[in-house]
Amino acid sequence: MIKDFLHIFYPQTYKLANGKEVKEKFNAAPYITIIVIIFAIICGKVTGFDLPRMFARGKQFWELIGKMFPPNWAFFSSMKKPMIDTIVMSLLGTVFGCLLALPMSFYLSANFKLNKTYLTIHRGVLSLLRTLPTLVYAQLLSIVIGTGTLAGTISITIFTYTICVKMLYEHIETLDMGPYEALQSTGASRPKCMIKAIYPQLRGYFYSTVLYCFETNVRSAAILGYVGAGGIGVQINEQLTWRRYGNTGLMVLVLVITVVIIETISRNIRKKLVQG
Amino acid sequence: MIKFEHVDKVYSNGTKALSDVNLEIQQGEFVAIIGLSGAGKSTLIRTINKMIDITSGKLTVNDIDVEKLQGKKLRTFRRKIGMVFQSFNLVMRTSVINNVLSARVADMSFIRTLLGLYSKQDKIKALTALDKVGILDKAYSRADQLSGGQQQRVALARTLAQDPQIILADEPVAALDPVMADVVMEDFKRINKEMNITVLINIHHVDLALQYADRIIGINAGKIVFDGPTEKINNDILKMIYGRELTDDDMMKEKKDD
Amino acid sequence: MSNNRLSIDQQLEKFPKSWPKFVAIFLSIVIIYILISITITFKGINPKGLMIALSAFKGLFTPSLSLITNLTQYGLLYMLFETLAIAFLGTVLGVVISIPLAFLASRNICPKWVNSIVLTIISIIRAFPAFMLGIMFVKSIGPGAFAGVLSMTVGSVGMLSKLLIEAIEDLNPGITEALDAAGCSTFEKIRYGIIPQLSSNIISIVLYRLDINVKNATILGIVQAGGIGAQLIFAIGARRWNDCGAMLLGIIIMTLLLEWFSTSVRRKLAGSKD
Repeated sequence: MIKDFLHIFYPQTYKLANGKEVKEKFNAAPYITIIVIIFAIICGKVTGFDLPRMFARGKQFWELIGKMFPPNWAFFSSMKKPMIDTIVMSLLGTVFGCLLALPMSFYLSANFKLNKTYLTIHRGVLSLLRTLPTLVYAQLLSIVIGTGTLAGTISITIFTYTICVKMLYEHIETLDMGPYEALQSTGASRPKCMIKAIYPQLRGYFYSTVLYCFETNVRSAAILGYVGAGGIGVQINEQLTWRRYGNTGLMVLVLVITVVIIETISRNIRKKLVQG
Repeated sequence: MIKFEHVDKVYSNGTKALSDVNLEIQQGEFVAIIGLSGAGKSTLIRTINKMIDITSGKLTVNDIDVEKLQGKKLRTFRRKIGMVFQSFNLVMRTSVINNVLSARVADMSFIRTLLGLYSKQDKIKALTALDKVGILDKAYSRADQLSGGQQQRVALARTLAQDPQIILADEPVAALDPVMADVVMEDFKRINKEMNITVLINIHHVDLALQYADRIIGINAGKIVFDGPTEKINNDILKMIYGRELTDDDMMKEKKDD
Repeated sequence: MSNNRLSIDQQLEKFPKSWPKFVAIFLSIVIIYILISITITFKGINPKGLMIALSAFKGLFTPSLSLITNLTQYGLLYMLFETLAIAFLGTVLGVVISIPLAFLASRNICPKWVNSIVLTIISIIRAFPAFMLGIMFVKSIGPGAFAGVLSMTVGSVGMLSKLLIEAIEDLNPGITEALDAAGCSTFEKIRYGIIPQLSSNIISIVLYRLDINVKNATILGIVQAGGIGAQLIFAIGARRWNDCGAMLLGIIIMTLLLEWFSTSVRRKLAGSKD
């Protein structure tokens, strides 16, 4: 029985009726599973993972949610402004970031055979910038240019730019270069060829990328208030600390509904873009 | 007039695509370049508008030394040379008229190109070109809704819209069925005769070349092995160009067994 | 000929007018201007701002060595490892929860009414921003990495199960039918028919989410849910630029290594499928 179980760790050899020996392919799955489990246990120790505590305190989680409902509707007038700020910051950051990314992505695509050193360096810098969360930019900027929505908008712009450029140039590299060659043969300059031969192929994907970025940004912009970069995040924390659960409930509800509405609209438009 | 003098082309991987090519093509000629695939037909045609650089020798078009052209001068030079491709090279996701109009952007300002603001003359020019190839009614269809033959005629109209003196066509009918191939070849012939535009066609199918061209250039392993009027072509010459007996694949229509 | 001429004129009239383009551009500019003017307040650049930016930039290139070499709980390596641990454990637990949910929500496995209930739950969970979950767990379970793990877990479930559902619904039904014909039980069908088809898909989905979770885990600290985030924001706030530089470098290196690992594994899996 134990021997049968151990068999999954090494390839078995079967003898067929005709005398041939067939060796199983080496299967890494059991080893990977064991490594993952061991690592997960170590992680559990590091993070103080504690199942009994979770069940003991889990009740409080539901109580917290229970206290948030019914939400305090009267609070709506006070949270309107930061909520709109959050959405507008994400919207502006998305628009500016994507508008900057669009022309740049052409220059960063490998298929136009532009300066390779420049391309490698710029792409490298972008992937470094991409590793940092928006919050870090927001915190740095709010020190440099002062707290407020401007810092939030600029940090969303930077973050969107780094993401959008990568998505676009990776897509451009898959596009049909035939029309580009045809336009070059008419004597049009390189930027004009990109506009007339490549952009029409990219348009649908570009719009869909803008919507995707907007969705992600609305979700992540809510936290920027924490470092004073505008938006609703700071209020959520304040109201929770003061134990005004009804107010928190309303903000959570509005935030969740906004995200769902934006996601639904954008998903439907994107579906149409893919088909069209 | 297009003039090749001792032109060689060696690719960076060492492939010798053209060797000692000497040619003279007068304005208004209809020339078919035949040979096996890989013989250097595409390279020959693409050197004329400097889509490919030559390695040595001299190439002049209307007394302009092509090798010396660069940047803006090269682009101005290319405006007078149209090019048609085997795979049509249209932007499939946009309308026919936009494809044809894209040939006009070389003459337009950048901001007009960006906003897609074409002048009335450009629009008339594009529609006239579509009319010449007989698909004016398809002007506002999307390119991917057209058949292969119609798409190649859009490509031809795009080339006409740039008012070319020379049209270079790289296997323009290889992707089409025999009936459509005939229609497109007829278009080339008519444009050549009516507008006195020089037409150079790379073509693998011998029968079409013989039917439409006035002059045949045979090319084998980068060397020109035959250059003369169509009437002079016979089986021995074809065997020399192709280096073997002709097969059905070398014909578009006249399958031997049929 | 006159007929043709007319036709060109007719087609010319059908050419899309350019004024709607201008109206659209004009309107977008006006809307953006209005949005900027109602939301964005510019109080003028902090006069010391440029100096601060400069010293922050310098800090990135002169990272604090003592923080890097400190191997205790207050050192860089431990903070990074804690961040990674939150992300990893959150992802693993998220997968454990998502797989059964995904099977329940797949049209080709379960009846429709089950699908719609599970799908509704998933989309509600998805709508919660990661930090919101973080706050809620911190308030109920207490601050620390444990709350971070739980919010990662719940936060991953939405996306993971959505991607898994797509993968399951794309499965080739032929294989399970063949196993049906061979008289296999439901468990055997899942074990021999579905898992082998799904495993490489699951691995690449999980790695993709792990990437995202590591990025999220670096900011969870701000709501006291563990990881490097809290220390980083404190360091920036206190303008300890050398510490800040060390932490940013740590985050950059960790994220890039992980990205490199997960893209190479995913590329290998995609390659082996063809």
